[in-house]
Amino acid sequence: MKKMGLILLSVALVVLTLAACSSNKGASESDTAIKNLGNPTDGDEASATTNAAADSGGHKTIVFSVFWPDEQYEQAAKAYEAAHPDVTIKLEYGLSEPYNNDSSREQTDADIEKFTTSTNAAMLSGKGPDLLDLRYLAADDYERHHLLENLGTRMDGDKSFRRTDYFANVLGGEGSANGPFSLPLSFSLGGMVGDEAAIAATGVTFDDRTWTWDDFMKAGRELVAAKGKYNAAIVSGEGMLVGGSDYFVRSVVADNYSRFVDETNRKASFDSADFTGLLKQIKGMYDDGIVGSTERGYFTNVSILSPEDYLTTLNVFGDDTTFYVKPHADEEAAGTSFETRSDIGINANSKVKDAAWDFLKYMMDHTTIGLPINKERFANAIQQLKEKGSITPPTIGSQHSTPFKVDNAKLDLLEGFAEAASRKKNRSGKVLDIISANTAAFFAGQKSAEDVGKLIQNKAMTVLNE
Amino acid sequence: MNNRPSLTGLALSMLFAIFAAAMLFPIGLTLVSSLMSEAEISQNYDLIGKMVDTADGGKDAFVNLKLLPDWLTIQQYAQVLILSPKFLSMFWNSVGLVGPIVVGQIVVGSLAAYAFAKLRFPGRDKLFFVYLMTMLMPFQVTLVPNYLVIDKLGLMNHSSAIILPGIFGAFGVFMMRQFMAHIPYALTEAAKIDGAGQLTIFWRVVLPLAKPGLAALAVLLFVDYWNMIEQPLIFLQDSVKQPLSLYLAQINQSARGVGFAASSLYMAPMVLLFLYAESYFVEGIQHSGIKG
Amino acid sequence: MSRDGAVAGLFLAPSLIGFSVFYLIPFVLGFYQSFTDGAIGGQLVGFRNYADLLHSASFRKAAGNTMLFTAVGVPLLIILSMTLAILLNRSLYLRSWLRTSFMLPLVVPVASVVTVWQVFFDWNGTLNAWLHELGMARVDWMQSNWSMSIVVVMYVWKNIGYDMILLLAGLQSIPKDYYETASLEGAGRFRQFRHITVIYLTPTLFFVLLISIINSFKVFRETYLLAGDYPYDRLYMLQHYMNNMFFELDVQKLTAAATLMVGCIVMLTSGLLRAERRFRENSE
Repeated sequence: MKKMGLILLSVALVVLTLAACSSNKGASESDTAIKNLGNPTDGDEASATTNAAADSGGHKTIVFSVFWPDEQYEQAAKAYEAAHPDVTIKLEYGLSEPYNNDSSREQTDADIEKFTTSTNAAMLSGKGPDLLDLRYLAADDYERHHLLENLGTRMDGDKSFRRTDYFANVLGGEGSANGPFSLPLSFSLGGMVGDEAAIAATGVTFDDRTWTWDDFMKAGRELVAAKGKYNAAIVSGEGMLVGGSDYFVRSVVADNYSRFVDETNRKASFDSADFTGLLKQIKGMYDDGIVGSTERGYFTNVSILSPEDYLTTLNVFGDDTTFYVKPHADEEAAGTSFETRSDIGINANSKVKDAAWDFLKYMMDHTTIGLPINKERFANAIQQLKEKGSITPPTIGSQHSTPFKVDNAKLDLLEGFAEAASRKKNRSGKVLDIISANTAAFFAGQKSAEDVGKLIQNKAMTVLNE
Repeated sequence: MNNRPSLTGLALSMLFAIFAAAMLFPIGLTLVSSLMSEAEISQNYDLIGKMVDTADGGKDAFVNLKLLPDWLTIQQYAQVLILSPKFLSMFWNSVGLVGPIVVGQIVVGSLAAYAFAKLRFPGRDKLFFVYLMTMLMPFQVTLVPNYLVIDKLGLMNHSSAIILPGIFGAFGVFMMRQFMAHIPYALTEAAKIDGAGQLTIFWRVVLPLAKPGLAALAVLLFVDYWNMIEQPLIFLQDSVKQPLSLYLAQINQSARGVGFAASSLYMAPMVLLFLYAESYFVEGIQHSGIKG
Repeated sequence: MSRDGAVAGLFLAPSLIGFSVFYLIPFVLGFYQSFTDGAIGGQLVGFRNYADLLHSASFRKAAGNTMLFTAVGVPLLIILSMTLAILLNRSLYLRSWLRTSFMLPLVVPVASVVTVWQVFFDWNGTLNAWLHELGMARVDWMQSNWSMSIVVVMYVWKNIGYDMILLLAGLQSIPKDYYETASLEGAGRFRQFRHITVIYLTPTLFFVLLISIINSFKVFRETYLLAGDYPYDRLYMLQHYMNNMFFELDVQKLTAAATLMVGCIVMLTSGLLRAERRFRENSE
């Protein structure tokens, strides 16, 4: 036993010596970093650690990590650097090579996996970029483990920042001490394009500002029963893509999520009659032709990415089309569904947090693409479109596009939809992924709803109980 | 036992042959499929991971296990080797990572193994036990601290972030100790009486006798590191440096035809190395298993 | 003795230094982290992470599955490879060819044959096609309790040749005259097996057991490539748990789980080694 103690002791000694050596090395590294500060072009070594002691003054380098190479960020960085000569912004991309249609999907997937893995590991060890575009990253987990700066506190503490300059609901976290931990530069709206004239012809009425999924299903049945212009009420899929059942199930279940998942008690009830009932109800809608999977219907799911995209989308689906708000779950407040874009967070362990925050604000105020979060930019974008007068839609494949006139009346409605944005779309989530992946067997008739429910329950419980 | 197989021997041989065929089947299927055209592959295996609607004949929809191609084509190989330059560069990346690891671990491992097998020093068995432990640990166990250490050493995104931990892996020490323990003390003692130093004994007596063990170790290490996925994924951000194992793990999921060809090329070095060194290899692992 | 010690130090130095840097220190750091509340410079929280960990039903499930897999897969593998070794330890036609083909799966990279497993075990796969021919309903092999049996099959497929070779060597090292004496004394086949083969094969068996356990942890790669990060719960192993914890950045649970797993491995291995020593002392 004595010997064992001796061994342990010597091992501990070796460990300690080596640990001391490596920490010395760390210290000398930051020494050189400080020496390098005078040399602004030396950005190769830039990372959160090598910027030690830089926050108080002198030259600062902000490392900004994003998966997709982005023109918008490049321009913002250049403009910001021009206005602030003491700041260098270093953009780091996750994508390994320029994207083109030939490059394999697999490579992109591999890059995404690599990007998340290496960013995770870096963040966990207290390093990593100063600013992060959170796309593909586990933002919730970062937040839970205090790896992101609380931007709620930043917003409240910064006199020059006025929440009223932005779309408040999209910004999120009003009045809460907790967060938000990331801020979007722009957003998109989710909803449906409907053929207003055809709907009016059937005489079916509904109020899309308040409707629930149940209301929607009822209206859908009536529309189909009226035997009007279309055979189906809605098309599964989004935009011009006519897809399988996946999309529809996902959005319905996402809206009913709290019915089946009890987050606080980490319990799921996908094996309940309630869930299998919902699955059967959805399948019934397919079987009855209310949800069409082959041809167009009265409604089509769309995402509105920009003012121009809004008018183009309406135009593509006909002349008398309108944007409708998406149905919501019973418990939820009504309002437009939205999805944030370019969500940016600040590394809680960054040494240049103040500078990063300043640059983030700058980007929020200068983003003009998409639906900008800054209300002034948003209004500008709409104004510009009106002045332009007409839109030439992008040519898709061989389909030749013809320019059309900007409809000012329709365009004016867009700001209202944006103001009403209240429901943040749950776009990711392991449980939702599991549901989408496993319900296909039921809709194809290969498995019973009960079997599928049990399988989803089996996996969902594993996720919830980790 | 008799030299000529008996009648039961014949029956057994046949039974075994069937079993061996079953063992080889996955390998054979990969090779055969790599010679099919993309169209034929997708005709046979497109249904993997799909749910066909029962209304469209889903009840009878199955993949079609096909052992003989309609016609042979090297189209997939051409696709892999010529049309995707990435494959070859990744292949050489793999070689560049695995080669140094195998050589390094053999050198470092056999030196340490000699100390464990042939020298007496306090705490020998306990220290060996520590080595044994780390060998049993899955990679995930030290993932995060490993990242910290590699980052501290400034090795991140450098191939030595993979190579160095590989060189110091415990398996080489373990295996070579097992093998060297088998070499009779009489031999080393005789050399000692002749006045040879430990290094001479190691170099001139033990190492030549340990050749089969080294061969076996080389093959086993090659297989293990040729396969690694997690380490390069985390420690090599730069995709230009990535090994083939990562590429293959991705490609298998969609382009199946190309996947079969890439898989065949990927396993070829292993299989050839094994067939080439088989007798050494067998002798090597056999001696490592028997107590001397 | 002391001179030996100094020389041993020199022989060990390269390995020991690298080994400490890349394996020991990370493990000690991880061990320390399992008692803190965060990844970087966290505060000590005692055993709270362990309490959280044991509270997680998924962790308990993963630990149970890993144990079950080792407890079923390893003995099964050893029994099968033992049978093969005994049958192959006689002159047969094509003996060396047979040996080669049993060993070949060992050197085939995991990613290379994943598609083949899919061809067999998919919902539309060959196995279900055969069931269909027989007029039976399909089985979702990877999404049911069958999934673990399938991984056991893959594990046996890959490792049977390796174990067989080791055992074959053990068998061949038993002097033949032991058997001859025994049969002269009228001992039957079974008695010979029990009193000679098993006894003399035991040291080899310990080694085979150890190697088989190591290799049983490596099956994770196959499982991961086939079933992803959330497989059917019967297949959800400790490595899945640790992998997912890494992606969720839950270092506390990750390191605590790792420490517990290593603790179990230490107990298992030292138990094995002790048993081996006792066996050796008894037989001497």
